Amino acid sequence: MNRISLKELVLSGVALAAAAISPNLFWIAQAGYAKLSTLAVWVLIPSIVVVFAVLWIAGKSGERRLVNRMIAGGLAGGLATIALEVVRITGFHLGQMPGSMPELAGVLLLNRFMLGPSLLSNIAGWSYHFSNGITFGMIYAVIFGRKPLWVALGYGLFMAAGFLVSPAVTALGIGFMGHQMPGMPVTVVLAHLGYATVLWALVRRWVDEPEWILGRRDGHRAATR
Amino acid sequence: MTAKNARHHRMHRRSALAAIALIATLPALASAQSAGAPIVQVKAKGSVEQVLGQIKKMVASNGMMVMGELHQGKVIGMTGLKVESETIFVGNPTVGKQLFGANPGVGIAVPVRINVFQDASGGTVVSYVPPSVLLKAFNDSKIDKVAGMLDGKLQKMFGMLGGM
Repeated sequence: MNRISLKELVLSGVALAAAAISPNLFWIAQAGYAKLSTLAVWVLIPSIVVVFAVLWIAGKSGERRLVNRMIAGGLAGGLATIALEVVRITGFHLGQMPGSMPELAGVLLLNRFMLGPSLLSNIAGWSYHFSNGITFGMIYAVIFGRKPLWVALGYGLFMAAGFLVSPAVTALGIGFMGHQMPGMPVTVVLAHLGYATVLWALVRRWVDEPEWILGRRDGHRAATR
Repeated sequence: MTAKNARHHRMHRRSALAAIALIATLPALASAQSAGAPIVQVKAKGSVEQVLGQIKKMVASNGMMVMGELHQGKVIGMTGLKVESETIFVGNPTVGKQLFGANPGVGIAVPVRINVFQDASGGTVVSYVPPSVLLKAFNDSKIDKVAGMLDGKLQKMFGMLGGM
């Protein structure tokens, strides 16, 4: 039985820090600290490069557990975002959301709010939206591995609460945590629970080792699976 | 000049001085009359850039977002004139939906235009025309209600700025 190696721990830390950047940029921009278009160039793109660099270094240095978790979590997170979108789009069409978040992110990313969305801004916005799903999936898989469903649901609730308390929601003019539009927080919570459920199911299938990041790992089993 | 006239003259002078003193001690939040539309002007501490940065953060915390920026100082700089003037347009989707839903013509007044400039004395001034003034012409109670709410948000925001 081996504990996590120092190299794996450091690489995991760097991967987690880089993956956590993308979802935080939207609220930082909405809080008025910097433009999302500026943050995209100077922070978002470098953070994505770092994630891929960690993946490459981990692969080269034989950190199979980390590579497996990053890829499995990323893929699962991307697919789980579809589940989130099903709920969010339904809520939007029922008038329970103040606007289309991916479209808003797109015009902010390309600094064209005054011009409105375009095909390119929509592609940018949806890519950003899915990249957030991918990085949240990576973070979950790297930290928790194959933990029970309640852990994933807790993670989904944490994501939803983090979004709702952020200045991004206040800036939409629906009050703190969207209390002036009660259907919105409900939609957000349900969407993130949907995301978490699909994430949990796929990570459970694709992640090799069940332990969380600081748990013991079976070196022999990891090498032979 | 008779004694009565001299007394009247002194009284007028005192009144004028009192009026000047009153104007000088007016609070930061003041309304100026310009071309028939009241312009709210707030004196703020710091450079135009610093005040603009402060406003952007306040806009978000007051339930609105910056939708666009117009760097008027830079634009007019092309003519050789040096001025410090920045304009931002603020609003939010919820208010926008309510106003445009009531009348698509409200685009003349929203998003709200806020100008930050350096005045002749080197001070930084934030100014805007209250949305209720611009939207009154639509004569619609629904629009008036939202405009009043926007007025309140701006007043609260720039009241805080005046106290900086």
